[in-house]
Amino acid sequence: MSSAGLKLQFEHMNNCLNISNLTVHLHGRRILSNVSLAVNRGEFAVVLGDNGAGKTTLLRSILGLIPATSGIIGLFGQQASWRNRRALRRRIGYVPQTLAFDETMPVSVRDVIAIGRCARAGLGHRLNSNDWALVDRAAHDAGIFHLLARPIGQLSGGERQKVQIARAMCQQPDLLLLDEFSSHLSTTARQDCLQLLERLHLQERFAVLMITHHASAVPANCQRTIVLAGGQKQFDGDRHDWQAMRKGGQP
Amino acid sequence: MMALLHEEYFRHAMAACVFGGGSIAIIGVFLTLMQIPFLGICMSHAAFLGAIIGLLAGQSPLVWAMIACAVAGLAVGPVAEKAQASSNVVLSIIFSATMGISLILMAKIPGPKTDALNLMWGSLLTVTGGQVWILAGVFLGLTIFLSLFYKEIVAALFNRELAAACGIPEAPIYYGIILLGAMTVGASLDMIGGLLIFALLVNPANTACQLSFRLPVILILAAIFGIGACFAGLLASYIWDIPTGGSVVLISSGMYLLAFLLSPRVRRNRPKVENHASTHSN
Repeated sequence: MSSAGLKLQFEHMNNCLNISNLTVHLHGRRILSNVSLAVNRGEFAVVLGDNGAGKTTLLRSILGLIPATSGIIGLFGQQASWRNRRALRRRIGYVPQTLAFDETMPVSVRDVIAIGRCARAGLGHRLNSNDWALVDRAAHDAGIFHLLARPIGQLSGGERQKVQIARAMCQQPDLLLLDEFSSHLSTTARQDCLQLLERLHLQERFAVLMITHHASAVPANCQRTIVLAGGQKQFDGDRHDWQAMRKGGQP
Repeated sequence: MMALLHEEYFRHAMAACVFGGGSIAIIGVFLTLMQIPFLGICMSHAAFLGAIIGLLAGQSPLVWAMIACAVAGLAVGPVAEKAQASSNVVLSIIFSATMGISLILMAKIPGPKTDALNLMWGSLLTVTGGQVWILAGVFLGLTIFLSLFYKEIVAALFNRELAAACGIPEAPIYYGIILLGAMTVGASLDMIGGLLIFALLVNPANTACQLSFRLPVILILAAIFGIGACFAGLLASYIWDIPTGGSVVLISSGMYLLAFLLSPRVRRNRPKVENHASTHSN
């Protein structure tokens, strides 16, 4: 481990996520430029920014789905690398904006939620009764218990996002990453999902990093706002300070 | 009819129906759900090329068919990734290239091309004891793989990126399925033939998909339909003296037509979803 990695491990034990000078290029274009941020355990932070600001790239880099050009990503006191990537991912719940899958896929809602238990159970091990109890509990908490036997392709957009939240919850994450998870939903479905998220965060106390371009789509228990523009961090601080700045006409 | 069971060649053919028909149908379900059924065509033609190479080299066509099939199957993903092209584009190129090379190499085979042509049409009645053992081995491998990694397979089939994001080793699972598919297609080449094996990959799987929404049920039904089509095709071939490859494929197509006409049509009657926002990711 590099000295920077050791420093990361010992100085920020309270951090779930600690990003230092992250730069990411995609297809020869710089998407993120020297972004640094940290999210503490149990904290709820939102990343705001217009389309193309680099929000999704930030989340995908944290998960290791996109390689970083430079910089360090620290997760749960460890420097993320290809060696520990899978182990770290098991502690992260991820809810993407939308999920591409075959609508006729013969998998039930229960099967999809159970994906959250797969990595935790281990390769080649069947899910045990405790895993299935967690699947049922996550479905119950998300209010979709009655849908468990339904094929996933038969659900509405709002129901599908609740399934994704339940799947992430079932993973018992220490950090939840939400990528514009409510942007394609109707106003009612969006409110429903945000209330669910708010309740689950209060109940489970995991850290949340949620990205959105709708300042209105931020739950009340979000304390912190990070603003990205053009791949650079423009603001990082208390949510109310950001709102006050905006009202004062500052960027 | 019972007298046939005392004939060794017929017993071999029946065993090949169970192991080959079952394996091809199960692999077909995966290729269908992975939305790469064209990989079946590509692998069957690669297997044909491998078998021709085997014939020219005076070695086992079956072993060479399995090797060529595996190379073609495993090359698709990385080549498509590097070339930033769709898998179907890469499959088309590999398919046409293997077919072109096969035709050229066929011309180089001295004397009558009977063996090579047999590989094109296939025949259940000429399957040997050794081939049955190989088919049984592939079937066993497939069954073990399925029972050990079923939950990871479901995750990878549903969405590979999501599976990766959850910490599931989706790439080994995905390529494991492709490798087992290659083994199955290569080992079954003699039975059905390079030109028609694709139909046995697609028909039983899609027949089963017409009848159920549950993956375990679909896998079992597909295996039953695959084995059933092979048995029925074998009998039809024996009774009417017609090529087995063609009869097996026609029967499996008939099964699909029947399932299409008689199925509860669960898909068509399902309630319409109110939001179709799931099909595109950013």
